[in-house]
Amino acid sequence: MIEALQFDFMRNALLAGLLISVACGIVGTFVVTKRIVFLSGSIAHAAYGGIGLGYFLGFNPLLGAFAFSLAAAVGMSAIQRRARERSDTLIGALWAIGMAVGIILIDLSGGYKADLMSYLFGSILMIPQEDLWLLLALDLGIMLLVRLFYKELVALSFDETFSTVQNIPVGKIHTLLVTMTALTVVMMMRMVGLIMVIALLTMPAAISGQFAKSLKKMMVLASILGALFILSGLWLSYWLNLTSGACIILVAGVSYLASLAIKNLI
Amino acid sequence: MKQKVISLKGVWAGYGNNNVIEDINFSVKKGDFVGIIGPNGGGKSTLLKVILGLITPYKGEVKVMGLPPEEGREFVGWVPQESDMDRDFPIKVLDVVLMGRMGRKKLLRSYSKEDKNKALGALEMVGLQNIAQKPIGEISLGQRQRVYIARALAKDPEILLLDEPLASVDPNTSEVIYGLLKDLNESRAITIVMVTHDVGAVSSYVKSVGCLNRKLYYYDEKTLTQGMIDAAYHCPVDLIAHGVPHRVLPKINQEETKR
Repeated sequence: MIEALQFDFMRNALLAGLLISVACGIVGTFVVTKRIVFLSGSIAHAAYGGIGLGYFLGFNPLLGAFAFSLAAAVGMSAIQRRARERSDTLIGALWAIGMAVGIILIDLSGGYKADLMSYLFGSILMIPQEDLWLLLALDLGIMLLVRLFYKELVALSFDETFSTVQNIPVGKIHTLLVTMTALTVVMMMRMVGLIMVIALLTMPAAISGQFAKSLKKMMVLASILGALFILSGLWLSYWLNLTSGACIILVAGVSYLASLAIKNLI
Repeated sequence: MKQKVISLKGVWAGYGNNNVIEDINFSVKKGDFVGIIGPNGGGKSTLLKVILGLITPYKGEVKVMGLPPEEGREFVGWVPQESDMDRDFPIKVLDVVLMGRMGRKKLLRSYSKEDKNKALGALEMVGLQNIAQKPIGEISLGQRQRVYIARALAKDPEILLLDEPLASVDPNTSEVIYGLLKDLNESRAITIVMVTHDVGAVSSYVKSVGCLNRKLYYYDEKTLTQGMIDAAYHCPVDLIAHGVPHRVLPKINQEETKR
């Protein structure tokens, strides 16, 4: 591993992994406790529509992904809060529609699409330097927002009905949560790809939730676990010459299953 | 005449196109302790949601403390069904109770010393001050139910609204909780509206009884007479006429005969 650090791309990948695990640990904790895992998966896949649009109109696909995932997040947050009973079906539909729009737009745009796969399966080794600053800004932004609205976010995740009765602006706090989720999901997409993003968002939080006694500890532990999974996954991928995103997810997935087994033994 | 803290006039409400409660006329006076019984699907939770402003009725008027429910609920302490809650949520008892201190005005502010004192005071009222620092997942069902009562009390409510406070609690615990509610009603003059399956407890603790099965049969009486209890017990018989299968009544009848 040490000799791998002489490469710029490896150093960038490690730094990016450390930075993203902070956002991932904080947002993932709320995604798991508020049970919006499915919604987050849908946000990730709807983002593909934006990637397609970027290719089609010739702008940076990442911008398209941001725009689509934010629109999907806000839209689905509204749907979930209004039509509770059928919201999962609608969210599933948006999931597929976003993906289909992306695929068709990419079909139509023609030309050479070498880095298309990197959006699907991730390319942490190709993270450019400027993305690191974007990641740092994301981390700081999320930490600030969560600090400001911490008690409302906790209350919303714990008991939405009670929060409504307390006249907390539940709709706005929910939108804030899904917006942070959308931003995190798009940034993580660069590392592990949109297909696997949801696993990296939720598994560290799910593991830490089994042992942490408070939400703050759950976030810290989830961030540490996320960083560990990314680092060990990267090392595996370097050592065995395998796809980095898949290695990271496998490490996280095996750890999650192991934690379930340990928890049941205790 | 005492002030009406809750009043419903000709209220029809439900979900989508599905009417659950019909033509509800119901008012609660300050200091009352109302028990509402009725079968599953009879609309008990719907009635509470209407009072809390969580469901807008199709027809009729709802007032809480003389205000529309969205504003009137500022004065309401809400105790949900324990079974609706997430037991794995990593949070301490005190932090749950503190949620009762939240509100629109307190956005962007941390809890004050006063909030913490109120929350601890509420925990003391329910006799749980010694487990304030425990995670919510590590305490018993009955304790958790009392934590939710404490959370509702932390806001100094005028009205306490409880949805099945004793579902899945053992008999000893239910006596503790009923005793607590009775005390809150008598010594702190908190108006209580409680929805329950437990017809027996209703007869021994509450001041007024309502029976809800789409329509509300309400007995606004200070003292329960045998005739009223009979009428309340008989109200599920109406259900059979409505073709709704019913499980509460036979069980209670058996218990009655055993005694």
